[in-house]
Amino acid sequence: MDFQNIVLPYKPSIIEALEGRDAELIVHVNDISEIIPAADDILSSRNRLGSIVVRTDRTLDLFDLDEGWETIPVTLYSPGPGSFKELQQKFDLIHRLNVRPFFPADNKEAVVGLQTLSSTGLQCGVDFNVESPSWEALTDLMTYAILRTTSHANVEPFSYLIENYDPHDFNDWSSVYYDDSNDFLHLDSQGRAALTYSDLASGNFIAEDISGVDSMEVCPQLEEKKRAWRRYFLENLPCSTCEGWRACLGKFERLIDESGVCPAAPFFTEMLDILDQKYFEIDNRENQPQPEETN
Amino acid sequence: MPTVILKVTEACNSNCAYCDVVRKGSKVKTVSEDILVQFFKRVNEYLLERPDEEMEVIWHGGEPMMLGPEYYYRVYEIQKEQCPETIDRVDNAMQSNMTLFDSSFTEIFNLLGIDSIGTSYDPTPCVRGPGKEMDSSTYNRKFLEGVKRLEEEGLSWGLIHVITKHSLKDPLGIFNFLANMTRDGSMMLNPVLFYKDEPRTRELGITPKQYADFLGEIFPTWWKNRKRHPSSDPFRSFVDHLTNRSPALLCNESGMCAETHFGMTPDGMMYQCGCASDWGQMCYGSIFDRSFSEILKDPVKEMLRERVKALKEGPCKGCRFWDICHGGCALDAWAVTRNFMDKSPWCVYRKRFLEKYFEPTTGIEYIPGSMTQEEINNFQREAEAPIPPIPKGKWHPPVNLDKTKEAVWINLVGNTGDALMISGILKQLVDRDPSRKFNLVTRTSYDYIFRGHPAIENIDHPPAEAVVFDTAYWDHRDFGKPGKKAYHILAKMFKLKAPVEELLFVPCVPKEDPLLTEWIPFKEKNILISPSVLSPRMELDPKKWEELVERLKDEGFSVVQMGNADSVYIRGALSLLGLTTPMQELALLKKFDLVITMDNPHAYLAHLAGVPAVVLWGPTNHLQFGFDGQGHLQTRPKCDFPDGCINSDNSTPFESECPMGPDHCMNQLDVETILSAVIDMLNGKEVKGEEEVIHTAP
Amino acid sequence: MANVLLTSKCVRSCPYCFAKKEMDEKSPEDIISWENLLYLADFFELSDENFVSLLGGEPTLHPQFTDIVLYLIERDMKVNIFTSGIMSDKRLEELKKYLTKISPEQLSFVCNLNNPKQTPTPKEELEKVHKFLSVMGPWTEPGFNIYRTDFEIDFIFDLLIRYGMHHGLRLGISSPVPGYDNIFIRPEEIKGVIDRLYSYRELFDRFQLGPGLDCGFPLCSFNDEQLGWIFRTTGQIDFGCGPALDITPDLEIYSCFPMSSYHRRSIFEFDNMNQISEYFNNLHQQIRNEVAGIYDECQDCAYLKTMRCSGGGVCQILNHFVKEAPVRFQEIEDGLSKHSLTV
Repeated sequence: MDFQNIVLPYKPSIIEALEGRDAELIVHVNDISEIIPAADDILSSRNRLGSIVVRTDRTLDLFDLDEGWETIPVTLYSPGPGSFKELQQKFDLIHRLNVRPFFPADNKEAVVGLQTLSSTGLQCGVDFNVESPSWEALTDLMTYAILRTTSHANVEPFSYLIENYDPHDFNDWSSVYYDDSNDFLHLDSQGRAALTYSDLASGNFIAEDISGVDSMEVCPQLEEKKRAWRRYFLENLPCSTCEGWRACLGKFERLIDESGVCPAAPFFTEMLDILDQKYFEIDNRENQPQPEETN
Repeated sequence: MPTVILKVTEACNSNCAYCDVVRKGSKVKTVSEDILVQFFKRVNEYLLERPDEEMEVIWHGGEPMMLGPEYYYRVYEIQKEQCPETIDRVDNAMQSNMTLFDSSFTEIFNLLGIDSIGTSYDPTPCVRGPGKEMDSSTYNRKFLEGVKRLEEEGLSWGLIHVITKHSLKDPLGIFNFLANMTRDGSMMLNPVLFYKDEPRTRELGITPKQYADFLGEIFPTWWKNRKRHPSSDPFRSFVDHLTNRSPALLCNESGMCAETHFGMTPDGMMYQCGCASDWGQMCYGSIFDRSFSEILKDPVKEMLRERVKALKEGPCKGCRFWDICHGGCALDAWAVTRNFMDKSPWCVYRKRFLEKYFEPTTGIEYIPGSMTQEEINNFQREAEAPIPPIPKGKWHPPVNLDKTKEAVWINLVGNTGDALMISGILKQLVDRDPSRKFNLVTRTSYDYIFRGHPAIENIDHPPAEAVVFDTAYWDHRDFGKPGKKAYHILAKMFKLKAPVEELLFVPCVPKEDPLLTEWIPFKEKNILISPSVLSPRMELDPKKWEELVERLKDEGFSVVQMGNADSVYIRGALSLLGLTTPMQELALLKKFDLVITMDNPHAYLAHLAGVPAVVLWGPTNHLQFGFDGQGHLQTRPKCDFPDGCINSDNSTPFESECPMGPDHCMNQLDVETILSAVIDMLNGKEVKGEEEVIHTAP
Repeated sequence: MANVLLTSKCVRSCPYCFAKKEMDEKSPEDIISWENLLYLADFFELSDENFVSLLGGEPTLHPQFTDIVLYLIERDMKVNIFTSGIMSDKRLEELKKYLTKISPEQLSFVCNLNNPKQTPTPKEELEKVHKFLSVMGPWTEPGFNIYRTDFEIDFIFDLLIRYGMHHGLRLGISSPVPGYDNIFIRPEEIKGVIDRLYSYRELFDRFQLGPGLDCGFPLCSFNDEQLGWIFRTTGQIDFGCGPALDITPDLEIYSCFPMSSYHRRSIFEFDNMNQISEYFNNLHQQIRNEVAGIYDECQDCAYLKTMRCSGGGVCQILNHFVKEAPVRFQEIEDGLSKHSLTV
């Protein structure tokens, strides 16, 4: 099996093992000092630079940006924008770089901060990897990102959804976070391969190394993941009857309480409504009825 | 295109709770080869007799795929053999539970032209499934696997959900489930049908009302998301019926099933349809004994045709949903009343759903064939006013002038003409009784008329507790009645007793402005025109005015135009637009021999100045506002308002253009008529004119 | 142009304040949220509006004042701030650090100054004003509200040159707040006020300062000499009175401070500033259809008819309506009664 997008931690030996594949590599670094060397190593290995991913506990206004990152796509996970007046002093530099900050979805100020950044022309995104997202704030941000007609930069995953929305299919936006098992392979520091971040974390590997993946014709775990959605319907789980299912796909199943109420449901229901509004407004798109039924 | 529901087998690998077929206990389970041969012979015969028709064969059961792909290869061979010239007009379709589909069926389905499979699904546990316990878990898993394989083979599928009593617990949940599972919301929601009262009926059956309410609970969500789920039936069909006078209807709606439907059981017996065959009703005999054409002439078919006519004239007469119902299915009627000729009880669902849910949700009145697709797509309920109305403020109660002792504050609402009338009335009042005094609410538009008026003590802002008298004569009960002029209504309101002279009054006419007068090239005869009007409905085409001016000048008149600065200038006339106040105009008027004007303040000023006037009327009525002594040219409007569209009784927006455009009533006046009226007025003669224009004598 | 109120709290109590009614009815904690600011910035962009004034109360009291200014500038807006100049040292340091880098083309202040003798002011407040001007003088134009006929403005020329202020003077004439008791200049006093202003001509000319007239001055109160002088020094004169469009922290909107209770609406009821402007212009016109201007002569005035002059402040006319019996157009009476603007 050939994966064109590989997510891995920064370890020169693993990058070497991927030499010459012409794959797009997304590399996680532990420190900003590794960003430039990692990018250099990727390009030297005759692969393509997808992104360098870095996490920081500093707000963006206090984060040290480097002019040397100008040609490097950096995905930055940060707690929030911080003080606007401080941040504004760095705007010239930020606009020249290709840094995309992601702020956590459970912090209202951070979510509003994303709208602020977007309105000033900075691409950014929501980090959904949190305990309890602030759905109300996210709904406001989503409405802004999808429907607002004033000029603004992309806010992920909403921009991805706008580009790829299909009203008659499932809409999986995992690839924004490099986590779509159909397209991304994940390697750990020992080169072992898994299909998602969570599989990697739980040791659910599909091969011991990249050559093991190369030699696979069919990956049973991948096939299983493709069928995974059925569980919700076969077991009559609450997600199966949720109006927002086609945008959530059970990503927030963990939040459903004992009575079956899901706090994410209104958000994703609204998301589909807003995406429909945008989708069907463009070029007056209309659906032709499908004559499927028989008596 | 007639449809044959061919029960190719009554064997099944499932044991669905509501299925009549598996409970029939038929001896012959599967259609034999010789019956297939005879069947296609009959199909060929039918199609040869009707060169323009096609026939649909729906392979039904039981579970048709239990017979395996080999069976259908044989079907294909027989079809080719028996229908050599007509095979292209045979459409094959299949209804299956999908649990047995695999790629071995793909080729034969392609050959038979089957590219989509109809199927059904129920999320409720233990309603569908193999075995006594109806193991739905196994069934559903196999179903989804079958669907996956089907899609991988490039075929599509359509879903029916049979609504049972279990479904009623959570209609929207079921809809969302099925919409999510099918991804595009393609589904058909059908009620379960039983033909006799049995435990199953009580356990699973639903009433038409329950069916309507089930659909009604889903409908607002579907309507909101209808572009996302374009193919959810019956909703899609109801919407389609709005745009189509001859919609494609199901067998139980079309009233045409006598022509369009047949059924055949595995033993080769022909029935009216699949349902009839399941219930053992309406049997037409063996396929060996009767052709399709012969069956079409069967008395039962005739009965079905008669039924439609009888229902239309009888119990269904006048029903606004007849075109999409036609009395429903005869079998459904028989299931309840044991009489095929009765209307189906399921028509209740349609009426209830449309009236209780469809119309209130959509805001569309359900009239089949009344809308275009674009209208439906763009249809939005009328938006609420963007700025909500604010509560009414205080207003003052009516005042009885006879009983009020203190000086009343006149709140003069109206225009200059109204102010002049009131001024005249007050003058007559004070002339008769010099002690009659009033105060006047200060207002820009008319203060100047009342300064120095003998009846007015004070022009100012009235104190909070002032007694205020409103002059809105158009709210008076006499307004609009024949013969009741505005002047006299006002006089009545002010308690001016007869005789009432139509006097207009200003206390002080300013002197002429020599600076202006010097610049006007007066001739022997001078005419003032004032085409200015407040409403576009009262406007006479400026081109006509221009032609009139030319003709007047040819006759030797000088023509001067007065009015507001923003009035349309009439070429050829000398323009004093925006250069005179009403009082200055009044001072100038005596230099003119005649005024040609509209229903505007200039007509009043002409009357006040005693200058002859020809006044042009259209949407307002000279009998209400015109002064005796002036010449009135009144057109007869040919629209919905023969008495004129501008009055206080109707809601015609004053500022709006007349929908008749340039053909509006004012433009019925022609230049000749106006010109001859002018000449007649100047010569002191009676004004004459044509049929459609009423004239009054000076 | 839109005016955005960042706060409802002020640091002074000017005797003439025509925002007092609005301030009194609001809580001091009433400040604009960052989300509302974002909404407004988008609203202005959609309306092609790129000039915004920030007001209050005292706008510099907003905890995120500097962030707000920088954000609006980042959104390509020109920002003007109406301030008393009275602020904490910390705030002033912030202004110095972040705002002095910005060009006066993009950022300006109008510092509303009171005569320290005629409007007694605590010494600390005066010191703060001077401190502010010492930092932001070149970005700042003096503003003065005339509320007494014997006003004195010598002190302004002193501040002008001492702190390198921008050579313009925003002159306001204090207006009545209908339904509220405040000090204001009556129509019959306006001529005297203008004569007194003209008496400062020598100083205006010498210091090359032009008197910028705010709304409410009627044309007829100026003689030709006075008009010529103003035109010569400022290049333009506007005798209009139109809606200023003040937006509150919670995104309500009204015509201007004196009319803050009259037909107040929410910004969410409109799609853009043009609609808002049209709405409030119509309200003004309704009032003027009843009574054209502040003088009797207005109704015959050719300059009013040709829109060279609006006939003085519409709040003056509305002030009469508040005190009289309800005789005006229904919508006017509804507007007055809804907010208890009647006697």
